[in-house]
Amino acid sequence: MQRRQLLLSAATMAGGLVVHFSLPSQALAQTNNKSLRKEALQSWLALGADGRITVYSGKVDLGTGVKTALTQMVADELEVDFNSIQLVMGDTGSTIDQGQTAGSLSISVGGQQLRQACATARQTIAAKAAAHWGISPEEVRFSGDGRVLPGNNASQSASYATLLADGIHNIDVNPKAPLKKPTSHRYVGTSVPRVDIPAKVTGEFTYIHDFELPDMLHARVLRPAAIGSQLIAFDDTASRKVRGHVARNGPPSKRKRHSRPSGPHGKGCLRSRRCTRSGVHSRSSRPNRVRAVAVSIADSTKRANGSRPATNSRSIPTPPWAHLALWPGGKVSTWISGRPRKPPIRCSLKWP
Amino acid sequence: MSAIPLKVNGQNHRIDADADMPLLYALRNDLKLHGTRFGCGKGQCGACSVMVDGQVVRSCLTPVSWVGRRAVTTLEGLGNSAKPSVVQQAFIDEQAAQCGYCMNGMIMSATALLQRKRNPSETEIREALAGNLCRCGTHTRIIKAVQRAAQQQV
Repeated sequence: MQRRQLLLSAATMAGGLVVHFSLPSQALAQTNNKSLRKEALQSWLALGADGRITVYSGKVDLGTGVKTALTQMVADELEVDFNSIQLVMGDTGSTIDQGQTAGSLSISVGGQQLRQACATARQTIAAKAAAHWGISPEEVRFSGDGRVLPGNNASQSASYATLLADGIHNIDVNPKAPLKKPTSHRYVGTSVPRVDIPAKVTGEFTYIHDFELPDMLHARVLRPAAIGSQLIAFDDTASRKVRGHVARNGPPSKRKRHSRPSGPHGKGCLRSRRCTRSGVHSRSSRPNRVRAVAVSIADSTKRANGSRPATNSRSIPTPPWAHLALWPGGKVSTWISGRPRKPPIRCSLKWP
Repeated sequence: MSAIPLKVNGQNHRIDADADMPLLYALRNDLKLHGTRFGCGKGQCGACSVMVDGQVVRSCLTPVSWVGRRAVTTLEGLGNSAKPSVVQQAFIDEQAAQCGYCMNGMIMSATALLQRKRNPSETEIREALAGNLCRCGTHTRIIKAVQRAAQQQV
């Protein structure tokens, strides 16, 4: 399965506790060659010919509403309709690493980065329109729907997409591009309904627990009780009774026993959970049954040396932690519960 | 393993499963109804709640064979985003969710409560939802949502 297929298959998977992959088609087309240079404007947004605007954020929405809030900020800064924004969040392959989604920084820091990128785009649009009409950029008026007018002359207008038809790949984010003043905000400061809630109250929201990949295996991974623990044994009697049990990874050694033989969810629980050391793989023999791929995350000995686990957040929500991984042809794609940030994830994962 | 009959959201199914397999697994894995959540797996959090003949049960602890001819209702059976139920719409109107993982249990319990009591007091709402955990802390809005639903139901 190629990355593009993966993204397409994950296109219905929404944010919240999972890395967000609801990519629109135009964004998918751009993903393969997309810049991830923080200074590049195209790293942050893409303007579709149909007026749809795709914005890329390294933050994720864990249920705090940041997807809605960041969209408000972006819509205001670009002077477009709220519903014309498609916000792609948390995909480490297409979004800038904006740091952890933590510490109340998503709006104050992450949002500010998005605003500056959008202010640059707006400044560029004004300059292009001014050159086209032979007026000054200050005379260009934004109509609020993705179009600009030459002053008060409503008989002429131009869309953002038309003005930026040559692309934005050569434009860098201008840290001094003027931001919109709070008094001119249309969405920020108002109570815009959260975009994720209707799906959450009807069962349509896709959590990572609901997401399926072909031929998945389920894995239960045991977390050691203390740093420096070594796995020497565990009771897999119950899991061996599950139909489709296929393998066991990380065979017990005869070293000193510190690890917990059974996790908090009891013996034989084969959902992939917050994990440190690979325990039991199981595969159902039933053709349409969900199966999971086992992921082994850096063991406690390595973590004692300073690396951090990928799931470094004891986050608030109720659901059990779960992760997914796929590695066709040596390239790994992962779906992580929690607050993804590139360096910890990439440092913490190791593969059986 | 045998074919076990199961009526869910008005539709009849036959599930090829062990008799003691949890109803939750049948709903999620066999019928692909993901609105019912796996939370603790021990009947303690309420995320897996469904209604069986109008009574709220923990589907993670309910053997699929126990259901028999009873009618199972899941979150999907109440409504969808295009046409939500009164309770679901009230939760939207009150913005009564953060991560949303507990929503299934909250809405199931609230729906069952309002079916047996049209105008419950706040105490009765709290008691009805006491078995449903929300770690985000959205309880105040959830209670308001149930009160709103009580007022708006026909």
